[in-house]
Parts: sequence; structure tokens; C-alpha cells
Amino acid sequence: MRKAVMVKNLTKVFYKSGQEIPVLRNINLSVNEGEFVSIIGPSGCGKSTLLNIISGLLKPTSGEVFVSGERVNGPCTKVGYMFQSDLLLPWRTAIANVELGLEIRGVSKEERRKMAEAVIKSMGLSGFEHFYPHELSGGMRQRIALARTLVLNPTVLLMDEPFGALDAQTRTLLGNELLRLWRKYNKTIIFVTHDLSEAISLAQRVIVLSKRPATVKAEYRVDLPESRDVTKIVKEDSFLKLYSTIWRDLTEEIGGG
Amino acid sequence: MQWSIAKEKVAINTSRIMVLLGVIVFWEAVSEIFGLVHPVWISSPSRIAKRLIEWIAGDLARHLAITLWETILGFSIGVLLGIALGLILGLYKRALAILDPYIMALNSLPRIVLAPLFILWFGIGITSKVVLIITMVLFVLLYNTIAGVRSIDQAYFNLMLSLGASLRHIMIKLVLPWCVPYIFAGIKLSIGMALVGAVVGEFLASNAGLGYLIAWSSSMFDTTGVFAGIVILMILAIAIDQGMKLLERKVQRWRPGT
Repeated sequence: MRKAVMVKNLTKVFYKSGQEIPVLRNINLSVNEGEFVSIIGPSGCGKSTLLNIISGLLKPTSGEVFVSGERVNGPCTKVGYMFQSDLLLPWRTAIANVELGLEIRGVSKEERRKMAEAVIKSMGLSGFEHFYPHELSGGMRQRIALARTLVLNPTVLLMDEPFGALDAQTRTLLGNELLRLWRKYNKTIIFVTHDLSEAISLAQRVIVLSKRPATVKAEYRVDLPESRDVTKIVKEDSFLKLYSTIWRDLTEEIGGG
Repeated sequence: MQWSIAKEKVAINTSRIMVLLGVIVFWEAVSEIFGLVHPVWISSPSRIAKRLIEWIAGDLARHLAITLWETILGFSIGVLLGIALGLILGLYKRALAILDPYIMALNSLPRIVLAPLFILWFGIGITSKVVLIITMVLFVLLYNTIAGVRSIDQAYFNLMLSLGASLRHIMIKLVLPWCVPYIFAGIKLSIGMALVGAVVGEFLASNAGLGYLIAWSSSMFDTTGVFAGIVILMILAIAIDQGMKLLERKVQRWRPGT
């Protein structure tokens, strides 16, 4: 199987007021094309830093990242990045926000309007195109942010706790929505979260990071069907067994001082 | 609900006019009707009105045009320079750190101490006033634009970069629109200053303009002329303020609560 993302011996050190702060230490991971992987770890362990490096926003101190076989060196157009907050531009309507990336890439006005409308429709937000962000709910805003990423048709989707600011109900709804879109568009998704239940219920594989400086502590295959319902799956035995296994790993990292 | 807001507005406007009328009547009574204070000191509304009519028939239009032209020119250049410098210094923190004390020092100078220099360098025509206005307006826009750029969360820059944006894209699609409310606040603050700058400049040395008109009247101990000039300035200030409010509503329709 072809690798969508390869991370090789990745190390990142930050320098703050003359001190070295190692954040990532010798991370190796690979993600197959079309795979849905979630990354979990104690908060502040450097998960966002890892995504920033994969996306090309940050340079690693040492090590390499490859996306679809190409070495990442600066922001990469094959990668779509979704952030913790929706980051919609408040002076743009929903559809104009979705068109932002297309504008930057020089797509013509009629073309990008058509593309944006199609994605908004597939997310079930038709009718809200001309609403301003402050007129939309948190869940809708995050879906518009997802539409802004998807409309650029990236091969790899990086998601940094994208549902973290939402209430539990909206969260599971968007989780199901994301799974539907993943199956439909056949994307590779790397989903960072600190919510273990979310990590297992969405992904095919869970990667556990250690506390800072983060290394890959463990990997677990999630043997649950691809077409699953996030609300129901959390009650199944195999889910609960996996949950308690990974939870042990995590508590070692959080509690093990 | 709508109806009561409309009624409230009518009530406020009526009261405003009553206040104005009250002041005019009181003034007229004190100086002309009861002769409590001689009109030589405080003039009177009727004298001022008569003078305004004379001026309008005379060459008020020329003086007004010159003052407005100085204001608009100095204001526009000052705003554009202030925004441009503000964007650069807002994005390049290093440059700001280096220049900050000098900008502070220049900004804390009362501009009036510079006016004699500008008159010496640029003469008593409009150029010296325009330069004086620029030095007043520029700093307001500079500081406001810097504050605007600084208020942008780093995450937005990451978003733009992840979408493949160049520096030009980031400026046009993120930074500049983000700063619009800050720039507007600066414009609102400084447009009145620009008018003041023009009048003060003319007051010091000129041969035309509203400030010249007031200075000339004052040197003749002509209080009516001084008050007539002041009335015109007040009308200008109100007109500018209303115009700005209208423009602001148009530009910032996306803001919640407007």
C-alpha cells in the first residue's frame, strides 16, 4: 500500500529565553493512503507541533516528512489543515470563507462559486451560504471550516482537535459527518485529539504519544467496522476493551510524573 | 418595538433643536434685548447671522475651499502613510522594537512647535498646512494600524499559509480587512484633528482660509467675525462626523450589532 504520510526520525526543539525545550523526540510513523489515524497524547505533549511540521508550517530540528512520497519543505498544497478553532474570517459570508483557498490559488470567480456551492451542499448547509460567521452556530462554523479545507481537494487532511470547542452532542454528530465524508472522498486523515473516546470511535488506528518530549509510545489497530455510528459504537465490548487498554497507557504518561 | 425606537429618535431630535434654540434665545436676550453684556464682547446670534450672509455673498466659498482642500489633502496623505507604516511595523516586530522610542518622542511633540519650521520650509501657502496635518494624522493611524495587526491571532497566519497564501495574499485577504475597524477608529479620531491642523496653520501664517478669516477678524477686535468663523467650523465638524458614521455603517455591515 502507498504511504500518504511518512515521518522519519523527527525531532523538534524549541528555544525559549536561551533554553532548549525538546518537544518531539525521534518520531517515526507512516500513514497509508485512505487511512484514518488518530493521534492521542497528554495535553501539551506536542501534538499540534507534530501537525504543524507535517503541514510544512514548521521546520523540524532534524528528521524528514514525506507526503505522497514528496519531501515536505514549506507549506504543502496536498495537505489540508483544520485547526482547533474555525478561524472563519468574520467579514466574509460562509460561502466567501469556503472560497478563500480557491481565491488564493487563482481559481476563476464562477468556477470557485460552483465548487464552494457543491461542497456546502454535500455538508448539508445549503441555504446558509450568505450568512456571516456570527450568525452561525459553533457546529455550523466548524463545518464551514471543513468545507473550506475539502474544497481544495487535499490528499491528506490534518485535523487538530477540530471539535474540541463544541458540545458533546454536536461533537458526535460531526464525528459521524466526518466519517461519511471520509468514506465518500477517500481522504487520508490524521486526527489529533485528547479525547480517547473520540480517537477510537473515529479512527482505524490510534497512535499514542508519550508526554513531552513526545515519542510514539504505542499503536493500536481499531477492529471496528468502517461504516460505524459513533453514538452506538462506544457501547460495544471491543470498543470498551480497547478503551481501557489505551487508557492504561495514557495514565502512565499523565500520572507517571 | 420599532415604533417606539422611531418615537424615541424623534423625541431626541426635537430636544436637540430645543437646546439649540434655547442657547440662541438666551444669547440674543443677554446681549441685544436686555443689554446685560455689550455685543462688542460676545456679539449676538442676529449679528452673526447677518455676517454669515455677507460672507456667503462675498468670498467665503474661496476661504472654505482652501481650508477644506488643505484638510482633505493632509488627511488623505496622513491616513495612507499611517496605514502603510503601521502594516509594516505591525508585521515586522523587530523594526517596531527599534523605532518605537523615536516614534513615541516625535508623537509627543506638540505639533504647534513644528508649525514655524514648516512655514519657514514650505512658505505660507497650503503646503505648510498640509505637512502640519500629515504629522498629526499619521501617528493616529500608525498606532491604530499597529494595534490592529497585533490583534490578529497567529493561528490566522497559519491558516493563510496552509492555504498556500503569499505575503501579498495575507496582506490583502487577512491583515488589511482585519484592521478595517482599527483604521476606521483612527480616521474618526483624526479627521477632526486635520481640520484643527488646517485652521491652526492658517492662524499662524496665511493669506486665505477659515483660520485666516478668524485671525483677521480677531486682530480687528471683530467678535462677530470670530464667532461667524467658529459657527462655520462647528457646522463642518458635525457634517464630517455624520458622514463618517454613514460610511462606517456601510463598510462594517458584517459586524454583529450594527
